[in-house]
Amino acid sequence: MTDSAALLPGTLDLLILKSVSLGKLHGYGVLLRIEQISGGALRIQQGALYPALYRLEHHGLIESEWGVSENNRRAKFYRLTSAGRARLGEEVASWNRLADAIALALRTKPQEV
Amino acid sequence: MKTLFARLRSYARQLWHSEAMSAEMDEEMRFHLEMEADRLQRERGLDATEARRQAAIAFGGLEKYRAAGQDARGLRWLSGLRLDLRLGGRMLVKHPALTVVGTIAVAFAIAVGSVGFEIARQALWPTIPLPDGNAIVALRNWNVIENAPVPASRRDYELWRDGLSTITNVSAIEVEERSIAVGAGPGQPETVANVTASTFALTRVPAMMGRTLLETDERGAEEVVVVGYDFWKTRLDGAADVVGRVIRISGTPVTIVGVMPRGYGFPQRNGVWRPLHLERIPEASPSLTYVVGRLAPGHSRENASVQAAAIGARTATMFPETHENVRLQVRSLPDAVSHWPERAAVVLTSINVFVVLLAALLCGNVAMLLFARAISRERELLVRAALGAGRGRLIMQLFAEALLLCAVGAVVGLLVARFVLARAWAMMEQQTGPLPFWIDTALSPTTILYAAGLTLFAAAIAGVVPAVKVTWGGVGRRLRAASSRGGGLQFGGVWTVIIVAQIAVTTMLPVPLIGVGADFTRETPAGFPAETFLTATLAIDRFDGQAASGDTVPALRAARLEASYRALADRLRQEPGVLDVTYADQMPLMRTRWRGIELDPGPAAQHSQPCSSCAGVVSGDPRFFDVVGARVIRGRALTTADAEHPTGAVLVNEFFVDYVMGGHNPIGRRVRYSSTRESTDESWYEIVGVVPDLGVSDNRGDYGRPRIYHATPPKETGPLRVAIHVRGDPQLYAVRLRELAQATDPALRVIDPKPMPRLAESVSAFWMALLVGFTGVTVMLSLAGVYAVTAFAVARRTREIGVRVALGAQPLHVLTTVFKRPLVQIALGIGVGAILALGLANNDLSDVQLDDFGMTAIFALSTILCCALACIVPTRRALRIQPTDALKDEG
Repeated sequence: MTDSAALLPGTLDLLILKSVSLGKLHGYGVLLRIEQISGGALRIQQGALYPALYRLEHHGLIESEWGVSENNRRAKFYRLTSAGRARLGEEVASWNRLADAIALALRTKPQEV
Repeated sequence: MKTLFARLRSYARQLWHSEAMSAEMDEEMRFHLEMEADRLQRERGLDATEARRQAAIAFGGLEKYRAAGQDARGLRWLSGLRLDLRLGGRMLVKHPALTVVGTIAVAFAIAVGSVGFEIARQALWPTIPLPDGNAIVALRNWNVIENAPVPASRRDYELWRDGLSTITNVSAIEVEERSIAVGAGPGQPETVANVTASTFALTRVPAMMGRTLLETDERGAEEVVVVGYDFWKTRLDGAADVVGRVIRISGTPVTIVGVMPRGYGFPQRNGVWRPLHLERIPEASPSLTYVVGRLAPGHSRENASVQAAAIGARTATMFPETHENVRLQVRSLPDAVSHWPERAAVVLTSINVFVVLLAALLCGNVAMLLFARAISRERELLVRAALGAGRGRLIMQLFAEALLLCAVGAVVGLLVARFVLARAWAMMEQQTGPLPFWIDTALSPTTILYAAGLTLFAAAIAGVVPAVKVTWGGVGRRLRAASSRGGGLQFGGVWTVIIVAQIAVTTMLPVPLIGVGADFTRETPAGFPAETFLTATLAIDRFDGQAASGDTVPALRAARLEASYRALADRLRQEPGVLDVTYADQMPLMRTRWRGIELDPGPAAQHSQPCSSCAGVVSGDPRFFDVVGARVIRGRALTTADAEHPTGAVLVNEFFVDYVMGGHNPIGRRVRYSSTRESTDESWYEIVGVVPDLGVSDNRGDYGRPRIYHATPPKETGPLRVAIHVRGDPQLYAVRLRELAQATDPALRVIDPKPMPRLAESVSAFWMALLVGFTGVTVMLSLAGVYAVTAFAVARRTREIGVRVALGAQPLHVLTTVFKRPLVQIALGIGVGAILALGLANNDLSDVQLDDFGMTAIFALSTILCCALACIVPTRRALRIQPTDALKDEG
């Protein structure tokens, strides 16, 4: 058993929104940021990142512009829009409610039933 | 909302920059792979090749994610649609007959729809092309007892102008016809608006050249005028130095002080504005055509109405003799000027119901043709399905093909609509007088959008219906059916209904069309050499000068008209080539106004038809029949004495004798007019003679065919139409008539001079063209549909026919079997159509005669012939087919 875990379905969008909320990032940068902020615990199929980025951009939650990367190459940078920020807030709240509920359920002992 | 905009922006980018976006996606993914390879080299010490390989593995399938990326933008279907449209374009070229028939059908539906919608739209929701035009309102006196408007007087105007705080720039307008002469040329009739100077402040439109009218012009001694763009262009040749020039209005010289910009024609489509000299109008004379104003800032029409109602009530108390039952109303400008909106809603609904039904009918036909084409491509569609194309994808493909066909039809239809619309407005103007200035003869963007909606509707019927039918039941079953060659697709139950309905409607359609067309197209015999007569209407301008000179007294005007007519007639008779001159209020060949009549007790015709006691009423010159060369058949002619001293003597025509009197002797019988709406005219008139039928139409819907002729002097003949008997081409005398009229009296206007036969032509030519177009398209589509059904039935069974014949079957037996179904469908359609046509003919709504049934029968026969024609080629081919060839066709 490895230390890293596969993403739950539907959580990639949330992680991308969180990553770009911390600063402007290119696609590869988003991947590294997710690894970084999850302590390397989350595994992402790298290619799957791009359809998710395009979907979020299509829905106006992030926006992109071409710029220059840290190694002086042309790269496309993403940043959060105000609609994306609002969505991130909703998603985080929803996730926390879900996580608390599951954690509560998993902490339950036989004598508490 | 923001996310919606982002999505629309994304769609737009994908639409216009799809290739650039794909390239960007590739670049972005390449960057990712290179960054990952760099990291692997850096952190794990891999060589460049291995690092790139590992990076590609970690990334996953590049193509897969590229496709997923396109899907994520929600427009993958768009590239498919583009492909389908390209394929559709090829299909249009490959099947030219279908393309032509389909384009005509859709173009026809779109043209009818767009014209109807545009006219109704401009009547119901006009856009006033003035700055903040919708704030302009009209003030109207309304008699609540008679339920009719009452023209405002100068006193009303002044009370409203001073009393209303919710409406600013209150302006008075008087619209009239005037004879205007430029230079030494003859006068020509023009619509002139006499306006208070505030009108130009109200409309907020500055002059293009010179200035608009000023308040000082209303009181000034110098006569000034502002002209419109069209008048400037056509009558003044668009001269740059036109300001300061003098033209003559009813003989009075007036100086041009300004030219208004193009499109300005407030309040009607008039081209000349003169200052309204209020002090010349008697205080209580109801002579103002319009009183208009602009809602003051912050006020609505409701506010203004409340204030207006209070002022109206006060006026009614102050002037009970004229205003007791009169209320002041605030109306929208279109309502006051055109009076259309009251009826437009009904018209709009009926037009749209008709258009949608027509479009559905025509598109049903196109759908049938497309279905036949789709069936011929069944194998191609099945192969696509077998290769993974879903049902939705196949439906989309057929929809895209239909959409392209309909779009081509829509473009043609809109071009036709533009042409027809211009003609329709011109005709309306000819019949109802100047149109409101905001009427735009071009197609509006709203109508183009409406046409786009109709196009989608047409494409949905013509494309989706056959597509659903073709893809119905799953690919597997279709593949089996196609490979067994026994079943495959058929024109099944739904299509049978469509085909039968189609043929029924098209069999029936010529009947009411011919009925309507008869109204316009039956040639009316003149009964005398009408081609040697020039006809025109004469009118006299209102007198210029002070009220004391009597310019508002109708009797004086009428007397001047009579004097001018007599002087003009004398001058005309001295002209070489002019044989004589006469007058009447209605000329032969015109549709005559008719009234209900009552005969004294005595023998008369017994009728069950509507308005069996109606007659056209004509007043005019007692010498009229002498001048046109028609002799009195029985009794005596009318005399000048009958015209000058009412003797109650009238003439009737032969049709009157036959139709109203039932052939009994009318001489000495008495007749009077009756009407349910107007008060009964108690005077009895004595019939003293019978004259031949002159220009009496053949149309049974024309209640004016029995005629009664009164003798009246010119001043009592309104409108005064003259008929000038000439040698040679009457059109050549039109200019001379204007010149002589100008020389006789500058205020005498000659309106619409033309040879008499053209009185019957102006409307009929247009309707005739429409009728021919409508019938032609309907018949062509019907026959195309019949052809498609029969040709398809034979083509589908070519192999079966070949095998049967090879096995010794009788050709006749084979043909009977093959054609049974289409023939039954066609026969059923013709039968249903004939029953409907008979029902329609028994209804009084339609003016159908036996001849029309003859034409329907010919049409039905041509349908059958077309069906036979459609069968000949495939049948001959089928009967000649060899069994070996038929079996080879298996694959």
